Amino acid sequence: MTKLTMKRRSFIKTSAAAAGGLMIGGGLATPALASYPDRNIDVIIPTREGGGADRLFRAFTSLWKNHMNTNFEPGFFPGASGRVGYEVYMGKYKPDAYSLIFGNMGPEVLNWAVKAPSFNIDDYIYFNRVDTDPGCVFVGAESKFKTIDDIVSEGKKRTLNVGTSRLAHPASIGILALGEHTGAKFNLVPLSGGKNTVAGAVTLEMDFCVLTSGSVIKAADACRTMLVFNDKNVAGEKLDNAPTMNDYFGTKLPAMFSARAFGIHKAAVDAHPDRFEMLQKTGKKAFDDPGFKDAFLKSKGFWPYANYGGVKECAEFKSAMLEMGERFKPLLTGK
Amino acid sequence: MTIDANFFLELFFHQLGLWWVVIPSIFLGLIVGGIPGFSAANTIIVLLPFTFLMEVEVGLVFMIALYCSSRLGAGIPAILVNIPGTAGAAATPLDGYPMAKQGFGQRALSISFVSSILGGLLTTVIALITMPWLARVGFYMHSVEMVVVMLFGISLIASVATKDTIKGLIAGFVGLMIGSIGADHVYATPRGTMGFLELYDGVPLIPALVGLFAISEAFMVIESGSFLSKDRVQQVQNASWAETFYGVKLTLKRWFHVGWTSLIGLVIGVIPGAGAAIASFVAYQQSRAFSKTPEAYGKGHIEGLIAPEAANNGVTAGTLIPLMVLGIPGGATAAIMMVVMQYQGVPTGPGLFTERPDLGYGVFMAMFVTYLLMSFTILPMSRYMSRVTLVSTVYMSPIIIAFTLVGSFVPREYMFDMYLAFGFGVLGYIARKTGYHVAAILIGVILGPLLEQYMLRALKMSGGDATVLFSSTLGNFLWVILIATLVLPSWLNKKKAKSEQ
Amino acid sequence: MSEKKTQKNTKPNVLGEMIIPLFGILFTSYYFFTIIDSPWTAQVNAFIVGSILFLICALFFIRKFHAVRVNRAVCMLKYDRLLPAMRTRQTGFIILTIGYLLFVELLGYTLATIIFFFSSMSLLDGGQKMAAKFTLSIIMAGVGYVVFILLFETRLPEGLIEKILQEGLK
Repeated sequence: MTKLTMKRRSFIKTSAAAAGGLMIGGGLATPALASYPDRNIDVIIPTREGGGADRLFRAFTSLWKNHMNTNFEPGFFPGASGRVGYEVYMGKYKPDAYSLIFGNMGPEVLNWAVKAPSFNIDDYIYFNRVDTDPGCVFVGAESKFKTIDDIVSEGKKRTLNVGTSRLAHPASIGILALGEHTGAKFNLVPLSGGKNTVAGAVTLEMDFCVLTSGSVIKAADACRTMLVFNDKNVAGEKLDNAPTMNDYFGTKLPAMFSARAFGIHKAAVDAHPDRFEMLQKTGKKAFDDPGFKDAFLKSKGFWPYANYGGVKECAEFKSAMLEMGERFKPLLTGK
Repeated sequence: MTIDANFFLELFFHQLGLWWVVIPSIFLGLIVGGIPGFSAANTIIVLLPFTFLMEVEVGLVFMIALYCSSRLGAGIPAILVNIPGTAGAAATPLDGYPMAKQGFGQRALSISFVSSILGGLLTTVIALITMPWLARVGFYMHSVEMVVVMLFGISLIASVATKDTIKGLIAGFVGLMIGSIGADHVYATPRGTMGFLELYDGVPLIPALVGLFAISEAFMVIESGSFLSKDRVQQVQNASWAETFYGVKLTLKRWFHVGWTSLIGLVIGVIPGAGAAIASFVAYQQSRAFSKTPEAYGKGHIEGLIAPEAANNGVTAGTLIPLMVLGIPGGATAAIMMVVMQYQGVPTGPGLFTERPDLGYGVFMAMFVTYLLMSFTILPMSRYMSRVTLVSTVYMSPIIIAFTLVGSFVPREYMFDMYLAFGFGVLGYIARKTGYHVAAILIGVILGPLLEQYMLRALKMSGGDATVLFSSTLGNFLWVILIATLVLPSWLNKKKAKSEQ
Repeated sequence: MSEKKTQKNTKPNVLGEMIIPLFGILFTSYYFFTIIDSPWTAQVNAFIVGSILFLICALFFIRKFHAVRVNRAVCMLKYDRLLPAMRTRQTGFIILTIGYLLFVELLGYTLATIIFFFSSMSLLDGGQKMAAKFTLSIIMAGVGYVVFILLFETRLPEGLIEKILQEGLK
């Protein structure tokens, strides 16, 4: 184990600086007034501006703001696969329901299984899940593998190299579970990001790759999908009508999603249940708003993956991810 | 639609007709390329809503023009004031800045522009003709081969500090160690981060770049009060248009050099994820290795300026090939172009050339037209731009510090990155004052993480077996070339010296 | 700071040259400390690079030690030159830069930049043409505001001036 422990003070000092103007509205909050919300709500996005999370956030809040009657102001804190954003949110923002985090419950929760953050992971709650994008197994267009059976039988003869965007990722867990179930040997090779993972499959450097299927759909004819880690292949032809792992192999693997949802301090939920109630109700209304589909499509989203989930679904998913992370921890951490 | 000479001619005039998009984009690209921290990619992101509103064809031309000109723009401050705007221009000041300090800023800019434009035009034409075959490069250049390519660039560490090799090596290896900061590429174990989550993804490049080059330079030039000595000031003041034309003449005389160094850029650019920084360092290293006067490099050598500039403009055409032919973006700008194309319902990959050949080939034609228009619009500006070196350091040093600190803030918007840039500035300042080459440190910081990434990937695939690095035919061929380019020049020099004796 | 200055003796002072290798050794040692218990993937590159660095530094130290021993170089810190060496405009400018970094959050980008431009330009030319420099400082910081904050919407630290300008622009 590395000796590194996060020097909280030094980090907070710098992250507080990074928060800049945001803090004026959020961290140094004015006393709560009776009517909520009486000012903008800050939303921490733990990825880069202009990325998929940003686009989805803008699409969703373009409707949600009307139902909440306030604006949602994003603050981007990329780095360390989302850790920076969560540390800033949990460490610097007052739990008053005037600040939220818009995270990806799949890979970001798996982070905690690999290495615990400085805060207690039960101190925040996910709600208003906006989309679910299942992981999938795919090959480059010129690959010799035609079906998932080809892959499994080859994997029983030799260890296959499997490209993934990163180890602590739902799609990586999916393929490890497949290996465990079938006895095929898979060697996960992290390729740092979706773009490189698609390239790893297309250029045939990897035997095959795993990734969230949204990125594979975007690669269109350059890739062929073999298996989906969900209960149903809702993308159908877009993912070459590939079977799901549970259907095809009779497993009971939880859906391996990349799933974007809002998160809030548990302390804020306890102290202001009415506010949280309002956030949930209006969030659901925004999702059901006919305008959301247009906004979602404009943000280049794949509509079948728009999938609302409440506190319960989010909590179930969070705990499933933690469990799977714990189960495969030695393979994810190399220890 | 028949793809023949007529088709290309029509396409050329059609793209030329979009000059009203190209020319403003060129100037915007020059600005964003020149300011560290800004790039074509993040400018396109900022302007994405407008790009979506444009017709797909216009949007693509806008992005291409911005992309090409920002590449060229990054070389301008690199030459004049030792500030490479992007990592792709990090090899440009090695010889460009010494030329500017000798009072030949105008000539250096002219050489840089002409080699960029020629390199860009040539590689665009080659890309257009050989696209289907070039796209295959990615199928052969895997991690093992890329390890050797990285070593070509890293071997520069030994040669940039010609005066004292051991100090060059120390600087380079310190850079490599700094470049190793961050989570390991496989299991994401944090290493050497001093507890800062901001360093978890590695040392951010722009703060390192501006700190080591620009900020340390701003501290240094205060001593003399001017970028130029007194006689050189006179020289710059008296420089006429002839100086620009002389630069053009010098570059055209070395057309072959421009050609082969830009091809290095094109081939490296085609490999997904490789990028302009490695291309320009490899081109510089190769240029020096095959030069008859390697000792002149680093002191304002013309070919030392031509090589990185021609190469990083060769990369521009290269990165678009995997996007166009295979449907996988080769770099950040190509990735955003893919988003725009998908938004407009245009296919990427093989389908593009059958369904919309006007757009597929049009992208490269737009690139050709951009480079062509740049020769009329940018080249004449070299005379005025070079006057920057006349401005007193009383004004320039504070301006450089304030603007480059902002530049280091821009990519991630963390104050931490400003502090980091200052830290690198102090490190660079100490290095310069004590005779260490900052470029050697920077090569380590830029190429170190890339080398590690490819090496680990190869080792992870082989289950930790190091012999994998010598397991591919192409890789072994590259190893032989690497060793030859490192050993042969000094062996030949010794032989020559002996025979002269 | 004086270590940075090589003494203008006939014999070179090698003290300054030691800073970078010493920094390298210290940092590499710390780095090794952080990866002792890590998986091999985290160690392999650093152990190769770090070991070579140690080796080169050892060679360098031996070479310099030898030069000092045979009286071709000196290795000393001259205290009498320490203070004068630090009393330069460079030192002042570096201090102003640190001040700029420390105050930019408090004052906001524009105001801190105006103060930094004005104070450093005044320091560097000994306080001539103050009005012109003040105007230039405002213009340059204004250019920064327009380009970075307005056009590229960079989230630079905001202060009084940014707030007033935002209100004004609304």
